[in-house]
Amino acid sequence: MTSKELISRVRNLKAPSPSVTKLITAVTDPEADNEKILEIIRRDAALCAKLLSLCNRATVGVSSVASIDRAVMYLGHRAVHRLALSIGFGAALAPAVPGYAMNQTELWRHSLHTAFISQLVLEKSNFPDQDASVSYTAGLVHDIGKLVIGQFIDPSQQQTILELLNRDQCELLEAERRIIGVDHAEVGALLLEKWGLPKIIIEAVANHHNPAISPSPQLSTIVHTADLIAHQTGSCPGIASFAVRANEEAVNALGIHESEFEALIISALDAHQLVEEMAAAA
Amino acid sequence: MTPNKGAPESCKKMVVVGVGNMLTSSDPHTILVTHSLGSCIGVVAYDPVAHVGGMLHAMLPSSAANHDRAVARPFVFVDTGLPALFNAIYGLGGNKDRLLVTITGGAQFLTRSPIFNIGPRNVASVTDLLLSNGIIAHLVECGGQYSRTLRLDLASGGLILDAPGCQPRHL
Ligand SMILES: [Fe+2]
Ligand SMILES: [Fe+2]
Repeated sequence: MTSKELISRVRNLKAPSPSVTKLITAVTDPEADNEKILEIIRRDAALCAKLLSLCNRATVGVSSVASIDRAVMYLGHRAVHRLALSIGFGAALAPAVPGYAMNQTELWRHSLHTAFISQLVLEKSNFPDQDASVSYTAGLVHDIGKLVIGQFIDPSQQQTILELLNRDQCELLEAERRIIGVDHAEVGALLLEKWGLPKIIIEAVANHHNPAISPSPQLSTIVHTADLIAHQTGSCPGIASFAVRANEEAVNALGIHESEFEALIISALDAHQLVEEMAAAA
Repeated sequence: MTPNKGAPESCKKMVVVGVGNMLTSSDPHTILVTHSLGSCIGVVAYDPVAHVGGMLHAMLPSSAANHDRAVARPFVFVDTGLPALFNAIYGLGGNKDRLLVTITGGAQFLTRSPIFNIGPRNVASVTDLLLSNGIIAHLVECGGQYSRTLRLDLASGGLILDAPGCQPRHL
């Protein structure tokens, strides 16, 4: 099957609301200011309601957060963007993905975790031109292709993937291509294109396991590295989750010293708590 | 297929050992479980006579570069978490000579760059530390390219290992 055929046959995928797509376009646009971004959030009543309830969990004991402007006051713009983006993709990413043996919310937690770590990687990197909210978004949707492929893998094909891996040390992406015809990075990118997400996010997702060939190599490298760190800090759901390669050259380009990586890994562990709060609320 | 002693699993209390955490127990109705053992390492020690045991889910091989952190969260690191596991079991009446020690986890990526090689380094760290204390692991089930879920039944010391896409199996 080609990616396009796969996407056309996919069922029950919850596309983000138009306001979330607008929001992503705005955060990836260097010209868009915070006020414009807030206006997009304010106009989506459902998004606002969820966001405020999440804020109230996060700021227990401080005061009740009754408006988006208050939320910004307490948490800052970036955190509010992050919450809105996460809520926007919760419905799509939270269901179980039996094809990859992932239970309900497993992919969702991994996605949130990778999103947080993407920001941490960016902070420590020497990629000053990259943006934190864009990195967060790319991390959030990086494995969305597993939702698509997961619908077409039956138990016997799942066993074939595991055999390919055990016998031939076959990479997960290669196994996906042999069995389904496409891999989760490629098909994820195509889905996001269909949903109208910005090009830079699509490129990062398409190349999150192969950042060296990406037209947006820096963002791809951030997500690539964050994904690997997520795996090393207890967020590694689904079959054959370690059957991937680390691109050392790309990772080295981040300019993060080996000793700093350990600190990064420890911060990634701390991010679990935030992930749990978000996953519980979404 | 479950040769559990005591109460059936459904009557038992599942207690989760989180990433970078450790728990011990002498309650035969308790099952300790840890999820998402990827490159992290799971160490279980169980005394089959005293029926006490514990489980550690450590993330990094050494606390050398993170002293403060190791004081605050010793179970994140093998070199501080492992002694804490054994001491806690001794505190519950476990006997060193009777302990059955199992090591699982330590998954590795298909590339072995130093930064992304934590799995094998965790396994080596646990094995070395045990050896220097005269302890030999009873069972080692490590490596591979998958994450694991591990369960310890405190009544019997029975261990069940789960990997995504595979049938749960008794160790
Ligand atoms: Fe992936
Ligand atoms: Fe991933």
